[in-house]
Amino acid sequence: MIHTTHAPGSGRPGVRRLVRTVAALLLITVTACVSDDKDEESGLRDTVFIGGKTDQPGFNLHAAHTDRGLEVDLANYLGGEIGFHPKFHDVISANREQELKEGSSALIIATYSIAPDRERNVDFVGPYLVTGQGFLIREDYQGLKTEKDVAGKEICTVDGSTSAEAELPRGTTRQKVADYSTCVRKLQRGAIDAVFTDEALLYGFVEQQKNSKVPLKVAPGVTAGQINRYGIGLPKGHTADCKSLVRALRTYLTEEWAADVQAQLPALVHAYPGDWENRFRPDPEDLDHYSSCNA
Amino acid sequence: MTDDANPVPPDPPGDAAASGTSLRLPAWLSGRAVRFRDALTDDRLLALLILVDLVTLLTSASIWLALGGDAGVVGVTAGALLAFVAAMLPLIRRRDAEGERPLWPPLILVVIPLAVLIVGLPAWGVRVYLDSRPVDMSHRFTLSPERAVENGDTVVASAHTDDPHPRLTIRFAVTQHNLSDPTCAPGSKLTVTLPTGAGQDLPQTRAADETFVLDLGEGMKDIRLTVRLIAEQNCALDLSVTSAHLNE
Repeated sequence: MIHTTHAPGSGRPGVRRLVRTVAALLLITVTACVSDDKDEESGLRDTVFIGGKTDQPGFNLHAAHTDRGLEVDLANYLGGEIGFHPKFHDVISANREQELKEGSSALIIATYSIAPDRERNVDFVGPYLVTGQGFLIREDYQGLKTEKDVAGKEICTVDGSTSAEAELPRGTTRQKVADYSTCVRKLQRGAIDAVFTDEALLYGFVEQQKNSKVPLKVAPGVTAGQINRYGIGLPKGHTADCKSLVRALRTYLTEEWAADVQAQLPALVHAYPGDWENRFRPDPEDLDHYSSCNA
Repeated sequence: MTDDANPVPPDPPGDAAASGTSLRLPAWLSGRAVRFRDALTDDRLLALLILVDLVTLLTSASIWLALGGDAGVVGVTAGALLAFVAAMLPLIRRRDAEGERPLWPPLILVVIPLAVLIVGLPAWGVRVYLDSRPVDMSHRFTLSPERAVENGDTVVASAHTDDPHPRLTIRFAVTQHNLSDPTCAPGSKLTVTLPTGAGQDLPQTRAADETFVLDLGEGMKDIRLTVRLIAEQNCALDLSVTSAHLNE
């Protein structure tokens, strides 16, 4: 009688092949699931081109070959945390989505308000600053003390910004221009009555113009429109980069944000002593609600 | 030759008419008929027939009721039929007077409770199961007014059900009305109040996307909630009901 013996652990050849095939398929599936984010090529390495608005004092002002402002500090912090070198170039409000779509910018950090229709085209990480909207007027101007006074005034806003779409009292004339510097020049010349945009942004101009011939102020207590939350824009679908940015921004808000705002927006801090952090600093938990990804 | 070779069997007594027309039942059928006739004299078969009758009657009534039949009409009909069956019992009882064995008691007395149990227990089980299942009301709520709402606005959410349950679990959604406005929906909250019912005038305030559980009390068929929006200034939102269930 002939006995066929098999080594322990070995089966018939057909069964072995089946086991190997199933094991290989399982391995491929697990690897694909685990490496979902890691295989995606990161756009945040080496030199990263960031679209910014380099005419906005307090946030990003390009002067004497140097960029200064809260958004520059933020970009440098993110670069240090994630491992890239930020390089800003100027972008106007109306072109921000296009910059990301075309790949001219890897990120947009340009007082870019998170809004649902923008989220159709770009992803957001944020907010890194929360602000209501207000009116910038000449320091000696007495014609704008309440919301009702806005009616009948000549107001300057920037094309493509949320302020350009905000509801203002009937009878208000709205001039739309390409950037805020143009609005401020018109205001100082007396061509308009007020500049309407985000309050935090206006305090940057207050600080910048405080020693000019025509100093400016934010009309106290006069608000309109909605609360804006500034986010970092990035091209859609870069989930791993999005998560890296959320993690880095979360630490920035708790570790560096307050010091940077004090340094870059002193007029804002001065306007709300003891309350400026409550008004303008986002809760780190807001990142989970407003960012396009969670980390 | 004589006919002795093919003798004709004599007619059975009392079967003259049948033999006269040459109509004879097959042997297997006549055998069963005889057995059935004998069985009818057995009180167990009669009791079984009455039981089947009662079970059929009660089951029909239960199904009728479950399909939406008016409880009064169903009850009166079933009661009349039960009374008819009960009225039959004294007739059966009279057999005793003629010297035969009485069919009841005790056997017939068991039939009625047995029929009630056979139908009642499964019906009760099904009823308990159906009552324990949540009733989906997600698409039955209407909101008034149907327009974008802002901070402080109140909307009335109302719905009707024919299957009332004591608890309502409802979830709303707020979406931005104007998509070009800055994102403002995530921080919004809702205050939901039940003007009537067990939990009336106990407002609940939660994040807009959270679930509200409201104590309606027993038998509330017309549900009415007031929903007040707490949102950022100038934030216009569209309110809708994403899910609503009635449960125990």
